[in-house]
Amino acid sequence: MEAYSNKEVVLRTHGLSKKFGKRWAARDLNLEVYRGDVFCFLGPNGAGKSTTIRMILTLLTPSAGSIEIFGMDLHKHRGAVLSRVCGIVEKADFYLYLSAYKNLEILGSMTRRVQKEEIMEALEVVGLTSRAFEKVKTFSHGMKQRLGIAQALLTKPQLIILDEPTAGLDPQGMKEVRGLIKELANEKGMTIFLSSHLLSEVELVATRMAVINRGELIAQGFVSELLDKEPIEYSVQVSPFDSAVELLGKLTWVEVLAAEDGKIELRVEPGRASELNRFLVSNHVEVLSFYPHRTLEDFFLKITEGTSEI
Amino acid sequence: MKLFWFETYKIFSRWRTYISFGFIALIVIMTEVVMKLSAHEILYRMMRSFQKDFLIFGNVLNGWFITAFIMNSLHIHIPFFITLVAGDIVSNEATSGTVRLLLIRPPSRSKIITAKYLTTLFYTTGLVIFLGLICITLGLLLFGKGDLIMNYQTKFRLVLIPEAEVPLRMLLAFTAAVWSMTVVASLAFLFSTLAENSIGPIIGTMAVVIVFLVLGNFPFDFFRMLSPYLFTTYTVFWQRFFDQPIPWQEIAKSAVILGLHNIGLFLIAFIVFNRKDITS
Amino acid sequence: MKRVLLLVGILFLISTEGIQAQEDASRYLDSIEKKYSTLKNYVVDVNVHFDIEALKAPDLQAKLYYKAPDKMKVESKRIFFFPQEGGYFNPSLFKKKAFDVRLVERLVYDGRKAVRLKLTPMDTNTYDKSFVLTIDTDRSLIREIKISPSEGREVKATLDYGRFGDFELPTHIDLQIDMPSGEPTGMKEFTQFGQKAKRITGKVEITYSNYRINVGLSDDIFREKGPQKSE
Repeated sequence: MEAYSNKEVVLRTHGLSKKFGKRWAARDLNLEVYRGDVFCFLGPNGAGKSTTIRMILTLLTPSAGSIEIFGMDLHKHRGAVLSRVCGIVEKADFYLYLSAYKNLEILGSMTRRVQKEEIMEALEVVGLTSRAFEKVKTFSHGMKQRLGIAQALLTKPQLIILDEPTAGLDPQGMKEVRGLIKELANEKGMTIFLSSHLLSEVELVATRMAVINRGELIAQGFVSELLDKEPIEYSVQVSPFDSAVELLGKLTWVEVLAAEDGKIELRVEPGRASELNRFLVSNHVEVLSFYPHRTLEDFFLKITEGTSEI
Repeated sequence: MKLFWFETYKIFSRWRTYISFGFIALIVIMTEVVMKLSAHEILYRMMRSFQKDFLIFGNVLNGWFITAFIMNSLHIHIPFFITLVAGDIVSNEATSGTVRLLLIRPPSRSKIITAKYLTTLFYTTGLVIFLGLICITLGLLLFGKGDLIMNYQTKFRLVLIPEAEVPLRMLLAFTAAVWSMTVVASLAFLFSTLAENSIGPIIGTMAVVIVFLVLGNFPFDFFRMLSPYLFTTYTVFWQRFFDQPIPWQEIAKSAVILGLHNIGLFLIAFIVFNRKDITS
Repeated sequence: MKRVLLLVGILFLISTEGIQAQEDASRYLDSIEKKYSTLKNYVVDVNVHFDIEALKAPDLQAKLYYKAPDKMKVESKRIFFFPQEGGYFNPSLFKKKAFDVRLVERLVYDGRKAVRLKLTPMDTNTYDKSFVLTIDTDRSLIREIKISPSEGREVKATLDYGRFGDFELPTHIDLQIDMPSGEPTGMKEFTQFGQKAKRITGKVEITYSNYRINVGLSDDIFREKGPQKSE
């Protein structure tokens, strides 16, 4: 954690606020995202996550406050800032009447000149090479979401902003997208800012997080600090079931509470949920689902009680 | 420029863009074939007031005449086809959600809206030129060439333009027609900027055009006073290029008024788009 | 009784004088008919100049073919407008048997003796209009034709002549026209307002040159494409 004191702040907001009529959709938000973070912006539906992301991506004009990205004021240096940023707001919508390739070419070229090889490479990363020249209208929601990530990758941005990237995806799609996010952060060194209303998602992918409710920032900090102060109970669906139970029995930091009908209830030491997931996968156990028994409401209740101050 | 070509590529990748060209071709072909089949009746209807007193020899119903005749229907069908694209060019991005992809790119909103506007003007120009080319080509093929007779019924005036002058005048008239139609395009474009669906701008623009045309043609003093303030009063200024002598001052006045409309409408669209919060 | 006989006598004299006057008037038409009896046909170059607000056109040129008694054809490579009435010289038009001819006045026209005759058609199916002719009696030339067809239309032709071989034929016809316009249809112009009853008024100057007389025109020439038909 100490290393963060020397890290570059990629995104910083000062008193960022947005008012629609008489309602504050976001109020006095002071966020800090460091280079290399997978920063999760957590909050229930309608909390102000999308509004904040839209302000960061210049889709909305803030009612008050400012946004600084890469040390530059967003308002004053919009073009320079956005040439290093990419994002998907809500869902990835494309020109349905154009091919995936053409969509990427047009959108990518708005940032800089993109070569054919770069487009194909981006499509390859998200596994859409074979559908490159098909019209997007033939794509499933998951494929569009992956194409969204491809377009975000295309211009090799330093900061990727994703608004609920797994929304509407099936478990397999969610898994793929989360894997991709981790890959971008770990292997390509990109900073990821993503919003979610799923606590489990935060635990699975994020390094740092901020919690927002009713437009106001409730908490901000490391995921491990905010979430993993005590053991958490999880429900896990795995295959093959028996070998998974056997493997879990060998771990000292995992307590299996119940195991039946392909579902295992277990308790994990704080901060080791991701490790457990990796352990199962590396031992050839397919993790079909992995979610904590703690709800977002519980978490909010706990945080607002003042137990998890930053 | 890059943005302009992207916008152009986008609109010409959509089949609705070709509907306009297809329907114009169909309308022109049908009109010219019908005119070919009922040439005498048309001549009778067009020229009967003059035929009482004058014998008319030569190829009156020639390609130029047919072109000018079809151009008179410019008021209704061309605006509709223009709005199909101009009314959709901005609002469609909101409807389909692509506006969220577009506006988070480095190019400023000002550049994006300008590129879209230029694309709208390009499409409008293309549509009118297409109308002209197909009218003239098919007209000359089916009806041959000759001097052009313009029958200004409401002014009660017949103008004969020697064939040698017709191509240049036709070029000027089509340029003026393009200019006229850009106002319709600008209006649809503004509505498109304000709306988040395509139907509203299309219906809205057509409603304005039709209401203005109707108001401008009511034979009552009140509406006559209103007439100078309706842009539709000036959109027929292309016809003045077939007058004798050409009333340059009147043409210049109409062109300037329409140009001011274009500037005004685009400026509003520009400001609205730049200030717009994208909440969709 | 004497008074009655006197009155009858006066009435007789008056009516006889009237008949004599009518016969007198017809002979002017006779003399014209005789003068041009050997004019079988002609071909002439025509130039038409319009000075009419309702018809803006440059000078138009054509070749006019005439064959007695009433065949006419215009040949032009371009569109050509030609007045329906009074535009060309047809000596057979005013046959005395077709009209009730009345002498309106005797006058001096252009420094020469002249008469003004009113011609009313006997058969309104053949002619639907009356004419007032001013005839140079010495030269048997029609110098003015006033045509008054129905519907308040009025055309006045003034003719100047030149000598071409054995014949004096028009070199210049000035037409003064004043006609109500027909009903408007067809093309609309959106800048204008309600229709007003308008009239075509103005002048048409027709100049004839290069007469070729009695060149033997076959009827076939006149069967070729004529003016644009209205119905």
